[in-house]
Amino acid sequence: MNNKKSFIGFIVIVFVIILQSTILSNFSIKGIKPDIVLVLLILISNYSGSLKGQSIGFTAGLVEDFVSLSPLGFNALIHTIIGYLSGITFGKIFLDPIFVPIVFVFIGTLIKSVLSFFLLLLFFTEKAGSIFTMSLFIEMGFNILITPVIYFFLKFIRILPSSNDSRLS
Amino acid sequence: MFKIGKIISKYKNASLLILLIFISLFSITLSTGQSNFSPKKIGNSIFSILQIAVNSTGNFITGTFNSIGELKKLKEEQQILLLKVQKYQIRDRDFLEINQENKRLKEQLDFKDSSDFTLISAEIIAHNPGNIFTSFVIDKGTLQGVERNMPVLAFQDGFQGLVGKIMETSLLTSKISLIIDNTSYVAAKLLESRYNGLTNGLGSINGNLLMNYVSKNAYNSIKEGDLVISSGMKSIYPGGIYIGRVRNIEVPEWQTSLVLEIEPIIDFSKLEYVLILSGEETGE
Repeated sequence: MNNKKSFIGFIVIVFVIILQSTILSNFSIKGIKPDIVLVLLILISNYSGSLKGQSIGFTAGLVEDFVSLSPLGFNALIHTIIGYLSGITFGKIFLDPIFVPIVFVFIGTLIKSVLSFFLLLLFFTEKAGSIFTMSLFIEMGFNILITPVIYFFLKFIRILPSSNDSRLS
Repeated sequence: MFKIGKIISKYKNASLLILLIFISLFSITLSTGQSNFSPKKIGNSIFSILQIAVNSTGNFITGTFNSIGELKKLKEEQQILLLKVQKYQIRDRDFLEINQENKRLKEQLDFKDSSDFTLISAEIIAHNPGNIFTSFVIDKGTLQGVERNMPVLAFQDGFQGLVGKIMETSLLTSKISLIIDNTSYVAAKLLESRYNGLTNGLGSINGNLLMNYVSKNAYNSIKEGDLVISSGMKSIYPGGIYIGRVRNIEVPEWQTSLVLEIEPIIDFSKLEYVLILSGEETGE
């Protein structure tokens, strides 16, 4: 993925963060929202490599920290690591429309939960217990459900290359 | 020195990762402190403008579509409301009389007027984008006189309920930490039986609260549906504000107190407007 596409990918993520906190805030099951930003980050990083992936993750995480009550750096750290790990698969694992992205998002959600748990344990001990509960399964299910939709959306706006394009553009 | 540079350029991915993790951790440590000036505050001020813009655009679009269908309803509602207004006018007269009588009696008893607060009304413009932290962003900030730790209330279904407190402020917006957050504690008491306790959130927007430290002697005096109010004891929250209703009573054998499950009086998932209490000194 070239720099221009990576930058557009980052702008899309920032826009989604703002949308998720405003217009899409009622899009939830039992108060649990899907993590659209995480799904976008995983898919974009997989096509960008770990250097761009972690940079996009860090800046997008910072934006999420600015608009939320989480301490500045909380989401930045989690998204940096997830962006890095998703980028490692660049050129090694190719995304099909459904199965591989879903597996990546499943693992990504788990990693996010583990990282959140340890950060909360360090900085907000009383919150750490709320991670591995039913809400994790609801969020995971939600994330998995929206993954194919987001995959096709990214292809539609040409951030992810279509099957006719060269993957390593 | 040259070797370090060589190592960094060889492993630039890992080096950047370590640098970003270090910056994030440093920033979390700064943000969890009580500093008045932080990078988070600057970023918050910038991105709050975006949130206001997107929220207003969304409201405008949905408002335009909804208003067409609502015109019919409005006419019917207007008739019903006119009748209601007449009823309320009669009640208002009664209320004024009772209020004056109450004032006179209070003066006789030398009580201090408890309503020293100024209310700042605000609209909720954004929610927390993630699931871990529960918060609302409102359209009033330091420019409108909002300060950290001010209590926040709301009126819903005829009740004045406690929403939370102001946690962060920027020039144009503020963030409210809700009473349903795990980190939120409120000194509370049962309205009827007057037993004291401490409520703590469970972290879910649709979830209940727990009320701990209620004496086991209270078991026979409490029943499901009892109202819980803020006690105002050594708290930033004034007393007498509704918090919720008792939904379940647990008697843990290993504890000397009861654990009550409280359903919040405010339905946070449909809350649109809040009131901020200002004008009285608050101290934690």
